[in-house]
Amino acid sequence: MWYRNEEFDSSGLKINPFHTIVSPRPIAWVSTLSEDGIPNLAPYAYFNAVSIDPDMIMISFCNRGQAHVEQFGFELNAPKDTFANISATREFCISMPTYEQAEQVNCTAWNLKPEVSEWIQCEVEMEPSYTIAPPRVKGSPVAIECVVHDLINLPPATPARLTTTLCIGLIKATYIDDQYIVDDRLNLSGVTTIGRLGFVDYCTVGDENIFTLQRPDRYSKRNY
Amino acid sequence: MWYESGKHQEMGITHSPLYHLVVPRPIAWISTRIGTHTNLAPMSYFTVVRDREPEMIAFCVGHRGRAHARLGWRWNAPKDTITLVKQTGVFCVNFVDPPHFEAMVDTAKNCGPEVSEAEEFGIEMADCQLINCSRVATAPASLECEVWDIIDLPKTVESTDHHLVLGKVLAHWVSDDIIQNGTIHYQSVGRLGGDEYCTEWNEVTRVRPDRHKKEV
Repeated sequence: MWYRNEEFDSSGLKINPFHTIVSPRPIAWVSTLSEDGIPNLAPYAYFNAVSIDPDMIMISFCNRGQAHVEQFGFELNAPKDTFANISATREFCISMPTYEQAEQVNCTAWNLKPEVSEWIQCEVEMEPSYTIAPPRVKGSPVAIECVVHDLINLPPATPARLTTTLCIGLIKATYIDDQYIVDDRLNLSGVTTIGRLGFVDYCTVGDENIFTLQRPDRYSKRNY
Repeated sequence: MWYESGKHQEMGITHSPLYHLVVPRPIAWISTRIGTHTNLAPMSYFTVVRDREPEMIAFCVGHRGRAHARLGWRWNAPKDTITLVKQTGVFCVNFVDPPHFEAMVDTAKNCGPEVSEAEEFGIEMADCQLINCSRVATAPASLECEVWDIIDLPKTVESTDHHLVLGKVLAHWVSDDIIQNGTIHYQSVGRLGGDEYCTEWNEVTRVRPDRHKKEV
């Protein structure tokens, strides 16, 4: 099947498969503080690393659409709390979620009002970060402390459409639970992480579904 | 353990573990074409950045570094993918399921610019519809993309150039084999650190706490 994006409605598909196709996606469990100091925690899956030296990541935020207006009473095109906080304070902490934390991760996707903290609502414990004010999630094996390098507005097709902003973040510091450092390397063996698929689906990444293949030219970044 | 960025070596960690931490990553198996020459290479610093019209994706590609220099490449030479993306303004993102896994890893080989990985590894290509490019004929899905912007990322004295390519998705190819009742289901291959990959054997479903389903 092939269709131009603007002709999706005549494709016969019920749901746009775009974010099912681009999978599995890593999950950024993003912690921020509002200007008034209210802590926020929410998962985002339009997220990836972009470079090493300096370590940088990208994460994309879409403003609230019609469904959020109708179901939760938000204003159309209002920024989500995470993005509003990042715009104001320029800092955010990304914790790596594990399978054991999946229910809590999902709980923090709740569309709550800005004055309600997901940390309390979803009973997630925090630990202080080292270089930035937003805390990290206690129990996550890894967390990265980020500051905004750039915010790029991605173009709405028409003025009436919703705004999306791509945040490029510079990593200031990394926290790793000491039990996952083996022979001077990060070794997440024993940790089951989770990834995002389409719709309401997630996948797990544990020792049982990892496989290894040497690159054809035996160039390996691991032996840098 | 905690360390400031760039100081992992002082902690005894030989290489920045960032790409072991951000997992599982989706794989963009990117085809580019100039004349009759097709290039094919996998990239995993890749994500959706806008899921409403216009749909957009982003991927990051770095120039060749020290490990490549040891294999005889010029340090900081651009890879073929970014050269061709800049030259033609278009590219196709193909997706990888387990039957395409080995072929995808094959195309990670550092071939010279004169080599077409598609020909070298016998991967069947087909023409895209809207852009002057090829796609992997049997892939579960492909996205036809045009460049919206290419952003230079900051670097240190020792690091190579990195470009973030932002692309507009113009059209979707979806294999009829993965369509069931108007929705798609396919087993994707994800990238982890080192030489590791994963497939999603264990799907877990979570309904959002407020039961708000996106875009249904």
